[in-house]
Amino acid sequence: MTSTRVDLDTEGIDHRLRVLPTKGDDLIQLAATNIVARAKASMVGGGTPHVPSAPGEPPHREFSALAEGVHVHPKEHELERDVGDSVEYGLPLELGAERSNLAARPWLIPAMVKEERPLKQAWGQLIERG
Amino acid sequence: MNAVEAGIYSALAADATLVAMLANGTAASIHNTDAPRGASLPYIIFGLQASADDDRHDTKYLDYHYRVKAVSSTSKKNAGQIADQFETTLDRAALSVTGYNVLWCRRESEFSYVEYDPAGERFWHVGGIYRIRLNESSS
Repeated sequence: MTSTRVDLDTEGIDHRLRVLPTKGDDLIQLAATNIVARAKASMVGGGTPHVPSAPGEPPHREFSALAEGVHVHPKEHELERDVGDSVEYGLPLELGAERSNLAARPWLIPAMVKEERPLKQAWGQLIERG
Repeated sequence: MNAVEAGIYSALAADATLVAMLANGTAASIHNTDAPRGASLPYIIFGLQASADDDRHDTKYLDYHYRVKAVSSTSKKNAGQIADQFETTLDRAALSVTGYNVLWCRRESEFSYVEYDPAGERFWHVGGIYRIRLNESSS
């Protein structure tokens, strides 16, 4: 009769499971902060007199209330963040309010999309290296 | 991008149930990017929200985010019913996009909000952000 013994070394997995919540949360915070920075940077000045941005482009700054109010909020759980604005017209600008002659001028989702690949790469490195 | 938008329009216009819910019961109530001033309600507007080229592959990969929304002056419920209907059409749809294979068409998030026009009338906007991933067809 033969027998086989298998030793499973879980040290690497255990290490990753230990560091993932903390380092992963740091990555999410960094990504959220980058999204805020990208959104703010996408909104440039409209000059004097103010010239609105073209439909489909991020809104131009006039008083900078939207841009300066973009922020990150922690959520109840780790690995989650809210990124949002502080003015009532952020959503209509993002998605459009055509009956008021306001075409969509996306400023948040483009910033999120641009951050997706760096976050995935950083997340992959975290999983790989711990 | 134009081919993608043609694919979205064709899919929406081919949904007879959806078209019947729109103003005048015609696909002319499906608008790309913006609706003409005074267009009859309810209608659908779709438009590009964001995009990213994916250059990690030998062939061209594209990643689009489109907002698709119903606009109604009747009620939020009315706009929501239209949005529910186009979700059944677009979510996981096999869109036909000339020159590309559609790898993915999914709703990634939903939204609703109310707009007050200068006269104080309310307009309900309900819809979603749809993500469409494609790669170039080999010739």
